[in-house]
Amino acid sequence: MRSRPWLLLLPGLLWLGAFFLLPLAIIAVVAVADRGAPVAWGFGWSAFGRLWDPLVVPVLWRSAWIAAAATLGCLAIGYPLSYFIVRRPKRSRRLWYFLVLIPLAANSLVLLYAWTTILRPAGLLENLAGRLGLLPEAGFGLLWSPPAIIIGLVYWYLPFMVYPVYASMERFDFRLLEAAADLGAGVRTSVVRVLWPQTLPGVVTGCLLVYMQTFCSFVVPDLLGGAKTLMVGNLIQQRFLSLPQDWPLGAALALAVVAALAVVVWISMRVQSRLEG
Amino acid sequence: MVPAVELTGVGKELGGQKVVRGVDLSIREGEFFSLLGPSGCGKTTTLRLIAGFETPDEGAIRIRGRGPGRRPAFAREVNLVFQNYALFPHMTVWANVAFGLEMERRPKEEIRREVEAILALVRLEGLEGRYPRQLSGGQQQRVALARALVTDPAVVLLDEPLGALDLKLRKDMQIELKALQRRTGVTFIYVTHDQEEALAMSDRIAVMHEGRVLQVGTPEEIYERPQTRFVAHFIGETNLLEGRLRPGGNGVVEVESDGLAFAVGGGGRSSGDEQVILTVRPEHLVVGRRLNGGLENRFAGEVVASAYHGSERMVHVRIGNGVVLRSRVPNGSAELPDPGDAVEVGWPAAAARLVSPD
Amino acid sequence: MNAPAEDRLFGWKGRGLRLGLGVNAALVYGFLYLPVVVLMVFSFSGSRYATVWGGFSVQWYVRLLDNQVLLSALRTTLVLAVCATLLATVLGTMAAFGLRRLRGRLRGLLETWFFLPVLVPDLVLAIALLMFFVLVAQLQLGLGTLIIAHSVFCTAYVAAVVGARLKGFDDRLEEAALDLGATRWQVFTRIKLPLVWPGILGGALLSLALSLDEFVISFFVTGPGATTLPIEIYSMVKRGVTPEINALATLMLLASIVLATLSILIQSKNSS
Ligand SMILES: Nc1ncnc2c1ncn2[C@@H]1O[C@H](COP(=O)(O)OP(=O)(O)OP(=O)(O)O)[C@@H](O)[C@H]1O
Ligand SMILES: [Mg+2]
Repeated sequence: MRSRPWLLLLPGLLWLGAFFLLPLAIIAVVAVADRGAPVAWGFGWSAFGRLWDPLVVPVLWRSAWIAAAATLGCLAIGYPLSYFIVRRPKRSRRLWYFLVLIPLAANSLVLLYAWTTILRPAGLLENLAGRLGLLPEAGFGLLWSPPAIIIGLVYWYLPFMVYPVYASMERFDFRLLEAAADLGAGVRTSVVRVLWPQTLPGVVTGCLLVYMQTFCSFVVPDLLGGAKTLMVGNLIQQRFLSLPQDWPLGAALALAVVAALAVVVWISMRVQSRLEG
Repeated sequence: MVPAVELTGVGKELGGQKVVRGVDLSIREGEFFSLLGPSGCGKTTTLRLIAGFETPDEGAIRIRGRGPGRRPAFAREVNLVFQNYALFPHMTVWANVAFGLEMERRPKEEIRREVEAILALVRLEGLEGRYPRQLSGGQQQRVALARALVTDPAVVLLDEPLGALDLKLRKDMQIELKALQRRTGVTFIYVTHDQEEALAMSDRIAVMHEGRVLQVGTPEEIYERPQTRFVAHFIGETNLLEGRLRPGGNGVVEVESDGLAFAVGGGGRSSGDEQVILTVRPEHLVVGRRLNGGLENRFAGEVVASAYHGSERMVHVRIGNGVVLRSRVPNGSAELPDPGDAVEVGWPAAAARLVSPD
Repeated sequence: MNAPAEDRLFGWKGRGLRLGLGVNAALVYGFLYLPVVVLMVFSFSGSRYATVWGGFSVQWYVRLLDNQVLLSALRTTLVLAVCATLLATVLGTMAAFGLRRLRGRLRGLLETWFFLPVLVPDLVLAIALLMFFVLVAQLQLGLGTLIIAHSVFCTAYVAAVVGARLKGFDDRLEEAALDLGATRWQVFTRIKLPLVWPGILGGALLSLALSLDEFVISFFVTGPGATTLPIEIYSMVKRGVTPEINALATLMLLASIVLATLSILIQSKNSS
């Protein structure tokens, strides 16, 4: 049996080859095809030309900065949260950790839907603020704005940050903090110069995962963003499912996104291997 | 003179268990002081209490007369060499050693000078740019030492610093450590469970057992004049005999055990008729077919075993009451008895000591 | 009582750090569970408006039972989840066992390859599959394409979970059993399976939970007559809010939480 791993691997490899690798390759093929119903088979770069549309470029730009903001948000609350969890007593630690992961496993739309009821005009948040006398005349105007998207993205993708950061903190040898304190380092120096560099690989992985996912998220901007704050995910979805369809442009967009993300991944892998010496 | 470190009545409970109980210690400036005891007796905990990683439940700790030791660890002038070194893996040797000086905000030039000097002292020149994982165990150990020494602390605490090294390197490092301590004059508190190491290196030793300090003294005192059964048993090898005390004449007391009487020198305690424990080291026992006179203790017995230990032989002799005594006989001495031989075993009264049960 | 490590190391600054961490944690857990609570509370509201409390009532749950559209969507969702999970469990488990046998670079490469469907953003996978089904395979979009699509990312998850379990498996156990005269088959059924089944079951449950909740990929590769619950919820949200969604969402959320918790509990069963 030891000598025949391929027998076990073959079904999975074939299945994923047919229904994962091949479909991914088709993105590239369609991106250089012509527009048709839905695709006309001719070779050309016209779809990439349509990328420079004044309607497309701002969306790409917005996706980039909203994803960056969401990633930073996840890091800002996820890093201290991971530290908090790691420092719980061994037995309750698992529970605290699962409490973060469970909304991810139940990553349903329904939670985003709940956010719309909280953030909408005259929704729960404005109700509460109104009772406290904190509501401005015009309301917060949160829903259908970039802040709402960022809140939703942080909410949905926080576990992607906590997962690797927590893992790297669990590997961290907390005696190193003792060593730092022993040598006279205060709390800030110990965290910045010992804990942070040691957990940086986890941070890089976390940022990468969150950035990739948030950049082409489609549901969050669709439900929380509205028509004026499209992200690239919405654009791709529209080109495929709404009229007028333009599959080559959709595929080209996806390709551009994947390429951009690949560059990000490549850079951070370089950074990471530098970190690990 | 103010002691470098002073512990009075220090107690500590961890996980519902009294790990350190009523420890009194006074460690002098410039001393090489060892905490010796079996695994789990509370040595590391005592050290962590001094370093400030733990706070004592009772008692007080003073460092150079300053106390009570409620100051957090980062504000204490003691430095610890951790059991597994705890070097910062993402920093070079240089950065590791410079860390403490940077925390004191010393000027750059001074840091450079100090680090260079200490690296030369521990013989690590040329390795400044390496990372800890690129060093051998002995080199890592020396980096940890340099890192602890460079800020010129009142006390350096060392937690089994040689525990991870192989026997040969261990012996070399023992000598090096001792020499280094002499040269720098810094107070060392050294934790080990290796009695030979403690005897070879220390100015004074505290023997710990189940969270208590049983005896403090120079290596000679600890070895030659153990005060409790545990100390006698733990340090080196010994023969232990239980019996009842009987007053005897001219500064000698007698212990009666199963019908045999043993003479013990150095009297002092002769209140009579109490249960006592007697200890005598194997090297003080003489074995021979016929022993000459002059030994206060002389018994007929039979050799039951004889084990070869290189430069010496351990001869086990069963005497009248069924007790087996061990005698250390240098190899190459005239006659070596074989198992089954009828022999005599004896020792002078002055070599035996009474110890208290723990 | 033992003072926390930060206090002993850093004094009052350590206490400050712990306070900050505690406050952050409280806020984050509040943030994570706020929508869950809102959803559940309002599913019992008697009001017709989804965000106005109108007294306790279970009417929305009762109404769900009459809603033929939702019931048929539920049926589709369950059939899809079960089929995709069965496929994924078989393929993923075999792959995990196979990967374990490989050595060196190839193993790392293939491990990444099997995990890739999890890393690729769901939208990219969704359009890729859509184009593949329509342009290349020329399949009728519907339940069949849904099952294939779900099986792709579910296989990746199962392979990862079972693989993690196998990592803790000591190869020497297998050698010891062989040494004691067990056949390969006996080694598999008596030694490996008992040690690995929590991984397989955990992976299957995770796959079930993920499939039940999957929206983006389903949205793209579904066809007429194959509407899943998440798709139905999406269109309900888009059409306008009725409190029925609260009830439905609460039930789905509970199902996911139960499945996810079970999966995690089983996976951590007698592992180190
Ligand atoms: N954090 C803790 N919680 C509970 N019990 C502890 C803790 N730390 C140590 N102990 C217990 O306290 C006792 C003494 O531990 P300590 O580490 O001081 O021993 P030691 O003398 O250094 O042993 P070794 O030679 O093995 O290093 C042990 O029985 C240990 O199990
Ligand atoms: Mg110890």
